[in-house]
Amino acid sequence: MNEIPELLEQGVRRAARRLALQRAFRAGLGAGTVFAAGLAAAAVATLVLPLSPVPIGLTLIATGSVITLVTGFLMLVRPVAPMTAARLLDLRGGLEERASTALEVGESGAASVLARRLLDDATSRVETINLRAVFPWRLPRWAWVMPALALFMALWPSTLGGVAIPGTPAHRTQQAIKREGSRLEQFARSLQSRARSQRVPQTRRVAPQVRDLGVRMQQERLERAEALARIGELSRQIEEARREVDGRLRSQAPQREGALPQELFRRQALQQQVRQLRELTTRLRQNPEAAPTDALQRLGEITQSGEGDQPAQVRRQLERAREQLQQGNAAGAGESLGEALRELEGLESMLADAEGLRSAQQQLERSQRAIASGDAGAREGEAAEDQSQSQARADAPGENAPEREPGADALPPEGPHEGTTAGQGRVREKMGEPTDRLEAARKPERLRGAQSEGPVSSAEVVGGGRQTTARRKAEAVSPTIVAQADRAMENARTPGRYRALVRRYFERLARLR
Amino acid sequence: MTPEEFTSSFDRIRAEVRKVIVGHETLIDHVLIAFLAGGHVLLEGVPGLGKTLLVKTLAQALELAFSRIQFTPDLMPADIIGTNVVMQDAEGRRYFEFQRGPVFTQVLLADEINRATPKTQSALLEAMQEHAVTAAGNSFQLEEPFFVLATQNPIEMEGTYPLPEAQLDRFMFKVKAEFPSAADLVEIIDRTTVVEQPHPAVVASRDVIRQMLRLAREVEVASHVKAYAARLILATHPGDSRSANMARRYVRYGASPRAVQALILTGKVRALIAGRANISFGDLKALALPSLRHRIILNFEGEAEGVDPDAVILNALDETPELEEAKA
Repeated sequence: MNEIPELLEQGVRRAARRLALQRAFRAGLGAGTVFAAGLAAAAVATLVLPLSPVPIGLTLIATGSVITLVTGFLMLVRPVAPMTAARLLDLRGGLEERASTALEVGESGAASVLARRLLDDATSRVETINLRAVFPWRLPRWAWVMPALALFMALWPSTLGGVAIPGTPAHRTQQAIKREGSRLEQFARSLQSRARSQRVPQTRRVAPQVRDLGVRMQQERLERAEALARIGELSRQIEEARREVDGRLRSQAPQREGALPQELFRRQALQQQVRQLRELTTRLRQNPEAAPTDALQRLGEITQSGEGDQPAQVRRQLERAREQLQQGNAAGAGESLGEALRELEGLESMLADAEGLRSAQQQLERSQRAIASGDAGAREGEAAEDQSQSQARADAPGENAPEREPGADALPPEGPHEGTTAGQGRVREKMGEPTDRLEAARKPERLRGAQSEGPVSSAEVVGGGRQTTARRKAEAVSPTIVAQADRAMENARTPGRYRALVRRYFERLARLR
Repeated sequence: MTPEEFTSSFDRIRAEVRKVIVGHETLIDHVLIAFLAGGHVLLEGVPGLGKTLLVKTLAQALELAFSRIQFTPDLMPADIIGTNVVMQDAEGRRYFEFQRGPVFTQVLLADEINRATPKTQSALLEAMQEHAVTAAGNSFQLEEPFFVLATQNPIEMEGTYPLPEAQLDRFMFKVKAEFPSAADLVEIIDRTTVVEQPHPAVVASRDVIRQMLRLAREVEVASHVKAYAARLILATHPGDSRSANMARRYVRYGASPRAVQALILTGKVRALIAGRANISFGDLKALALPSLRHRIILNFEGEAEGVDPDAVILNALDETPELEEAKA
């Protein structure tokens, strides 16, 4: 029979709860310290592995959550027994074993005079005891570890954050980041130089951002996750810009079934039409009295070649020009053709813009892959780059493996006249696309000789084809062949004036014959 | 009897004894506690410290019969317990009559018990243990309460018969009488060298004493306090897993189970004196020295190094925690 007074029981239960909470909190603090130590170890591991340290804010929140959860859990599953609490209350509260003896006596139901006296005495003492003074909150001796770890995590980014020990995966990833940063910077420079000569506003806006990113990747100590995040963010911006440009392109594209032709081919076709139109327009402006038949024929070819690609507005302008030519209104036709030309140039610019954005996005994705896979990815990228080249590299006959010169695979630096018509210098009026490398057959050359000591480096040299004499007699050809030759020159992006020279040359040959 | 009555009676007795005895506050308390616990006391001290006066005063204050036996080497058991004497009645017939010895009293002072032979010692010790005397085949019960205070002179041990350990174990307490201080000596002069000398008055009847003895046994003891007392005793045993360092090194045999009885019984009295109805760890710690010092047998190394058993007990107290869970 339980004779324990209610007040005594309540007092002991209060003490038990306080003890349980203190004990659980101590264990929770221990768990939190271990958790924080784990995060700190992960931060130190970034010296070796390509990991990202947890930010200090998240560390504090997570550690606090661990402490709270462990404390709460232990409070539920490991309560302090009333007798244990009573004994500790006696010991620390100076109750001289009154409470614990009273609990035992009360549980046994003893009814002696002394037993009753003990119960009353213990109850009055427990009622007046100050639990805060008896069981004060005391931090364990190792409590300093957690603030030290928090300070360590807070200082890590500004001190050793981004540092990697040479030869480790983290170092290789950082090298990959720097390498990709350099590559992006160089790509961005070439993109900027191309964008200067074109009406490509989005590409012009994006190119500096890509360059800045590349510079930051080389200069700042970035973790892999941060580098990937920055690349991803820029890639998203470029994607939005691409969608906007694609939307405008779709609005101008002719309605037809099936997929749009590949952008590259469509752009090449447009460029060809622009060249043709520009040539025709220039001819009409320069010589309005010239044979309209020829102009009509050219116009017909242009219309035919652009069927399916030309926007409706352009087709209307071309149709109007054709009518004006038929009416003998060369000037009017020239105006109409000029308007159509402007439309096509605008469309071509949008395609160039889209292509520029696409190439930027591809480069960013490539960098993302290279950084995500670390060193192996970088090596694979280099191997893929080697395989994509059609020319075999000249290997030295000896044992020294050839090294590629730094920058050997980068785009050549911008020449003084790049972007302009050959021989014309830098002019505002563009006569055609920037000259590209001559499409000569590439023949691998092997250097013979004794290998010297030391490293061997190789660089690709692109040169023209070998000059030989013609092996065919001159003979008359049909107009169809002439037209095919003309188209071949257009496809080879031969500037208009050059085509005219070539035609005059063969015409003279024909007259001489 | 209520605890308050117990406390007030004790205070009266103590005050009355202190009226006569100068100093020795702890000694007086220990003697009274052992008395009220139903035990006997072995008092060690040089002559002239007031040991006889203490016991006489106690007996007078409690209105108890008092006897004193001066133990000498030629003392016989019969000198203690009594003997049969031949008597002649009026008609000239002779018969044996048992003449009771000085042990038939309530408060007995056995002075210099270590001077008597073991045989004589054992006669007294049987009376102490059984509260009865056997003589000529007859058993004579001693009147309660029966309290023996035996003394030993620590400086004249030549030609003495030290009490064997088994006999020492029957004493509840072994207390040491310290030499009085200068102030106490002056007080002694003031009290004992004048015409008017203090005489103790009767402050408690035999009935009161019996009630006090019974009430003391009703004091509650918690299980963890009992466990502590047991662990303390085991800490004095060298072979036990819980033994203290010094016990492991210097002790041959530790305290017996009588020690834990002594601890608890005297602890109960002390608790009542303090106004409590339960024993505390403090009670046991305060009474550990007088309860255990005569029950610990040192080994050769301990004796050679002159280790004091008190040091062993204090070491055991240090190394025995009150609560196992208090460590957490």
